[in-house]
Amino acid sequence: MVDTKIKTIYDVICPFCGSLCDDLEVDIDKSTQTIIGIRNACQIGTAKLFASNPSEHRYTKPMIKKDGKLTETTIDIAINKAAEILIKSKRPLLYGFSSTECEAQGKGVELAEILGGVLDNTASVCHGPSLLAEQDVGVSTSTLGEYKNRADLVIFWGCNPVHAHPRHLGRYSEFVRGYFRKDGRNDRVVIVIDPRNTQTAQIADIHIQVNPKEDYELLNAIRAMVRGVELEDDKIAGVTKEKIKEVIEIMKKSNYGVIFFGMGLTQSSSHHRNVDSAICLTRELNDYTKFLITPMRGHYNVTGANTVFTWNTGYAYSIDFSRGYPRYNPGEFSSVDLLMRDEIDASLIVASDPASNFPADSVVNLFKHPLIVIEPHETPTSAFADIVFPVAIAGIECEGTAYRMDHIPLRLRKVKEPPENCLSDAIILEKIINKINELKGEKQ
Amino acid sequence: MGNQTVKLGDIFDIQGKSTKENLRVVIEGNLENVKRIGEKMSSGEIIINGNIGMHLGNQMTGGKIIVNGNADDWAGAMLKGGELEINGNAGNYVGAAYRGFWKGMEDGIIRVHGKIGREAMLWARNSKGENKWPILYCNDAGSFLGIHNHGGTIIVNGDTDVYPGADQAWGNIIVNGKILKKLASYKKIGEKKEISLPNGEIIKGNYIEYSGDHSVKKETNGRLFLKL
Ligand code: SF4
Repeated sequence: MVDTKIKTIYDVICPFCGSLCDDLEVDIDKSTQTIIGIRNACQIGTAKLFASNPSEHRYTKPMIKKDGKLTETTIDIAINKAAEILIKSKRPLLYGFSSTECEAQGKGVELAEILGGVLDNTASVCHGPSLLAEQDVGVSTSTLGEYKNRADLVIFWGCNPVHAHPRHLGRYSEFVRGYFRKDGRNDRVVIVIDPRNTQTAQIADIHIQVNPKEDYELLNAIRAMVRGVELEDDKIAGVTKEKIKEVIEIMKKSNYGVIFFGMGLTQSSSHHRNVDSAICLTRELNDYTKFLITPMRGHYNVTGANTVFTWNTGYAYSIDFSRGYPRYNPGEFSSVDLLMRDEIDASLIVASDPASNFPADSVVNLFKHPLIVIEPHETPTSAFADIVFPVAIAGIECEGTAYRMDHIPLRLRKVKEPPENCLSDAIILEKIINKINELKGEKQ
Repeated sequence: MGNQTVKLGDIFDIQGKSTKENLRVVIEGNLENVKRIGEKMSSGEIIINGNIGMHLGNQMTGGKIIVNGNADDWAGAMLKGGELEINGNAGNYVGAAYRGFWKGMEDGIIRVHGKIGREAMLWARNSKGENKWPILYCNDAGSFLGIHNHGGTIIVNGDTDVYPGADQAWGNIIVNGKILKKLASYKKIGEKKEISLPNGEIIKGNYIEYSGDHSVKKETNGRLFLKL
């Protein structure tokens, strides 16, 4: 007999990393609304889905700080207090947004605009440099489906998908069979450029162990040698000239090459200039063959955050509304820099944990001022918050849209009911916006 | 201030008269958080006694600004004319293009007597036809000095950090001290006892002449001179 206590939902999209795998199968216990089985997801995706089940770390009631301790409160009191804090602030910061859906991100833009605040997402500390480089020199890119079907040369530069995007290799880039790559892995040459001997490097055909922090030098030398310039040095960034020549030959002879790059390029010492040079190399290789480049975005919807912010304001991150219109300048309006200079006097963090990722000095300044957090689980950031809103997790407990790392929008599915009292990020933000409008109206 | 508008008089004590020509403004105090002084200025003179915040004299087309202190990032960004003199240090992106702009400093002179930060003169661009020669003098310089340079001139009296002239298409960079690390794509082409700059200035001394950046072009008019 069919067990009717369990419901299986097919084609679920994994809301964890930028690969947005869309083939998960999730078993739900209908009576308790808990996830009891997951198929097709990788370890990290599975962990995220299971973490939505009730646990002591999950917030289920709005919390407000009283006598230095977070205590339970009602949603109305929490919304009221949050609105008051934000209205009073002269330079509020709205940060996070990369692990939620596009509708909530849109509400974030609206809130930042009515507050005259600063709006930023996690690209500020991960792939922001990629965006800067793209603005400087443009970018030739494509979708993961194209790479899967066509690429015969795959280069992973400064990224380790075996750990960070585990199913990327199986679904799009390394082992998968494509329309023109019928033999899967055997039809592709895989090169890893990384100072570390990562698991991705161990299963590659060639591993180039560039010296740490010297990626720029290597990129620059490859570009000069692609142009046929004979260099004076025998070894560049720890790599011999012969090895570089060998790689250039492989690049030029390939039919369709792609560079996937990660934070090894964006967050090592030359930051956006590494990406700038990698994009220029890609462009120049198109004189010989088809070559494209794609960043390995981490958070599942950081690409969505950049896209939604851009279609609303013209800019992807680090946006200041203090003059009533959007202005953009990473370094000036980016969260870490603002916090380091102690310019922020109140913050609203949505689906993010800056306390674990930002430099210590900036976190000290973040905690000095009122802090509102919209977050399903306890995090180092929420532990120091003045107000915490519990939420339904997007892609598990509510629907929404997310953008894959290659800018493909996918509709997230709701697989189970959220805990009682938990609203979606978008609804909480809308309630705060309505309250602010109401309070401002009263004042006038 | 933040999302509020305040009156200048609430923050500064203001004295003097305004005139249409030869206006001279003297600003005293610690102005580290004051941004965009002298933005798009076209004539006159500003003297700042103290440290100054970001975007000092950005996009100015004429006149002169003197800072007796340090300047923060983007000092003289996208300068189109005039003169900027900083007697202390300056931050990152001195005379640089703003994000996404392909034309940075187009004309004018920046002199920094102290150190400057990263990526100074990013996307600087000269114009032979209009006789425009953007030029930067400084003491020590940070990394990626003159990156994507398209005709700017940079004279460094001290040392530079890594990769001066990265992606330089053409232009001149003269370093009188040491270079922490030069890119492999620069090639030695000889030695020079006299360098004549496009603005007519002549610099004497013993220099090694490198051409580059060859990652941009196989044959290039970009030059890096390092004092022997
Ligand atoms: S690779 Fe990423 S999207 Fe796919 S299952 Fe793993 S965590 Fe989820």
